[in-house]
Amino acid sequence: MSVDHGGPGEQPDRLDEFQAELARLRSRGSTSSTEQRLLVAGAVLMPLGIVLVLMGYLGASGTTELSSQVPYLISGGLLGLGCTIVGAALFLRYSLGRYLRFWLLRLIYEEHTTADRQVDALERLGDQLAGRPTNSAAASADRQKETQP
Amino acid sequence: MPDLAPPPPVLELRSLRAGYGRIEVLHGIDLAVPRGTLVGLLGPNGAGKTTTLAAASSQVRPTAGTVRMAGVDVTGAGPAALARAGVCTIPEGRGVFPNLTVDENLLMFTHGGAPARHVTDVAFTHFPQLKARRRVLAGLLSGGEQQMLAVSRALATRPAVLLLDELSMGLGPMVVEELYAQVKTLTRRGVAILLVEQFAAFVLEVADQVAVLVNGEIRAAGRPAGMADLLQGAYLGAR
Repeated sequence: MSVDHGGPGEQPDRLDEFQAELARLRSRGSTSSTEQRLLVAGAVLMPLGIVLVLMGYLGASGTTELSSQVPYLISGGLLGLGCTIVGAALFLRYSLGRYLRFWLLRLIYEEHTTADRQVDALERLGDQLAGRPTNSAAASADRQKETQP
Repeated sequence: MPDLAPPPPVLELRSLRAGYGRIEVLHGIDLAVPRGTLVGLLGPNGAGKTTTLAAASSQVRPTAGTVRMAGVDVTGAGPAALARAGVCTIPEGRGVFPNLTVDENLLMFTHGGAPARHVTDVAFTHFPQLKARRRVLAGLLSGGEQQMLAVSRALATRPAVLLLDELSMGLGPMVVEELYAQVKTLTRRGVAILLVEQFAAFVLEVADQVAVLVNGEIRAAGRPAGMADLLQGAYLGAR
């Protein structure tokens, strides 16, 4: 014996609830990608490096002893420079990466469209040479429908 | 214009790769569980069935591929968040608290907001044997009773996705039949069920679709009727 505490009508609401809950999860960033995290890390490291350099300068300028200045040079100057360079590299890589990906997709789409036009033109040429009526408009529309996402 | 596209599967794994450290267990699997469907995932020991469930419930982070639920990409989401959203996992080994009584275990199932009275009503109506042993520690119940208690969580908490790992492990055939019959009723409510099992006979009778996982790859998928012949080869390594 089974007791059904909800019929088929209940479940579409349950699915809507489920979908809404998952969408909320996603918008809270629980599925943020590695790329996004590295982009943010790069953006943070760049100014941090500059701050470290400044701190190194302030520390080094407070003493005339070279032996006391060297630690500031290393921990502030070199480390700060390193952070800025790494941060800039990360930021450049991951911000360009998104743009280039879009650009590549755009190129591929344009190539497909160009190839369709070329095929269409060749078909019309072939029809004309063979003395057949051209049916290019319908064929071109069909191909365009196939390539659209 | 009405949207004529079919709804996305409630659970979908796409090109999923997952493993433990440097050992890759799943080598790019594709699996979809539509709404109101019971999909059986069969395969021999070590095929990666439990890893598939762990990846689907986000307990193991995939190294590649995606996990989608109701069309939303949830790859990498926290397992607790998914559980709160409506993904119910009943792991191998009963999934009950052995040091709590049956009543106390049922109380633990109210985490999703289901009233305690409703949870106990559902559990004892589906499994009257549990009512007689409500004050017994879950660890002292028989294997079948523990599994009934575990399945009560799925019946009482309105999951959207149910992941079951080896329901039949160590149980007699009659108990297993009863458990699967109860699980099957959930498909009427539209719950998407992914059931992992080593013993094909039970699953072939209740599943709407079956997939065979061998060495981390899906070797075959389809309706149960066509699968029986394939299974022997898959389990025993015939190509």
